[in-house]
Amino acid sequence: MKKFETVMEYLLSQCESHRKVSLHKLVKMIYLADWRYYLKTGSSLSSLQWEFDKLGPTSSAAVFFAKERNNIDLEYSFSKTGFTRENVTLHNRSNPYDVTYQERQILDEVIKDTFHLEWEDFMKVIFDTYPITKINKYGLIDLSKYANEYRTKCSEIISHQID
Amino acid sequence: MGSIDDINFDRLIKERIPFFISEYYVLPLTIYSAWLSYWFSLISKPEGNEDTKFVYYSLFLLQSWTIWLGVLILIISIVGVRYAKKRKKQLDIIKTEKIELESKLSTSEYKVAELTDSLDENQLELISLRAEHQELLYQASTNYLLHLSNKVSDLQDKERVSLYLFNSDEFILVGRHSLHPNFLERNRIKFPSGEGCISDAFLNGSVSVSLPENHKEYLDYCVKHFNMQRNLIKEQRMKSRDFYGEAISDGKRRIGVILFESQKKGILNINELSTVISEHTDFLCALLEQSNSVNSFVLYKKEETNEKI
Repeated sequence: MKKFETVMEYLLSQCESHRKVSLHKLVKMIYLADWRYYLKTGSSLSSLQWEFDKLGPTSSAAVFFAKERNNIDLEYSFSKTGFTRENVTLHNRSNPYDVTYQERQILDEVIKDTFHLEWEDFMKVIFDTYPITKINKYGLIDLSKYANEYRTKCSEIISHQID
Repeated sequence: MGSIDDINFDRLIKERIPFFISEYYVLPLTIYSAWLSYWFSLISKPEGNEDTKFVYYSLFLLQSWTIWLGVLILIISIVGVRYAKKRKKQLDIIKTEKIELESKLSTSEYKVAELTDSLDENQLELISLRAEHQELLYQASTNYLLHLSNKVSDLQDKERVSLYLFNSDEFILVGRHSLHPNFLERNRIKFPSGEGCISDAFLNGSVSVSLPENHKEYLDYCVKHFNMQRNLIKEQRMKSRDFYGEAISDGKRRIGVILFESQKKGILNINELSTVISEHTDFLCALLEQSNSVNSFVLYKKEETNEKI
């Protein structure tokens, strides 16, 4: 199983079982976990390629995986206005997940910080991440570049304050 | 009359008989204490006729504390058992109510979860519709800029007009028109507020600038006067030489900038552009205000950011 598959299933397993999780929210939660992991370790948690579009960060690989994976159920429904709703649920919630203590900590933090947020507030959290405040084009997001840039700026500010 | 089959033996054995015993168990004790009093009185049997004896026994019985204690305990026992029965009934009612409330609570919790999910789905739909609206508005603004540029003579393949919305510390591209397909494309979708001639137009009300033809001089000019980074200038699809921009105001404050640019020098007629812009300010202002209400960079911007440096 690829790392992002483990991450996706772990996140789903930790979300409240009686609540629906939209595919959009799940993907954005993985983005947030990935970004926080970059800041802590300098490497990627999910190894996903992130793209920026009008709804914020997304990943076609994550969306594709959620649709293909046997352990994940994708439920389609339509709203009164014809909008397609895609909700994901996990078949087997008791699977053991190959995640380290640090990864688990970040993923749990992301769930705690964002799962109960309404969409407007959730989007504010996503749009408040450094890469999205800095990005000026639709297309690929280089999280590694932004994480280095962010860390450099933070250390510059700290050293300036010490001086 | 009820037959023997009507008797609820289970209730009789489990409730009625224990209850009767608990209520009247003191009665035999009372009778026993009365008998004891009588027995003690026999030890000091008085002399005299039968009437005197009867009065004596009666007085002895009435004066005996054991019989009064028995009567008192009997009364306390009856009152206590009755009270306990009443309390048990109340407790049963409370228990039933608790079970009913717990069931109602779990139903409500389920309904709350359902409604929260439904709210979540509707909010996502709203956000997606806003994003679609943002795109449609971009197209509408682009069409309006086409209409505007048709009113200006000599705007051809080498020219472009863009509309930018000001949002606290950046300018967001909300519409663009050019006859050249490459120049029409969106490369950068937002620009820092202290950079380029968009910023100059916004700060000074208008900007008219002509840049050097020589590439090196052009780069130096952009870095020196527009505070732009060299690598970003190199990435630009359209390296314009002439610019004319004006700030758009809603009557109270400046809310955006319209910028005409041309790769050829001397094409932009400033007087003509200024007249056209002033004639269409209200419409441009309306487009900017609408863009402001749906643009994701504006809507999802936190008042106080955690990460921005």
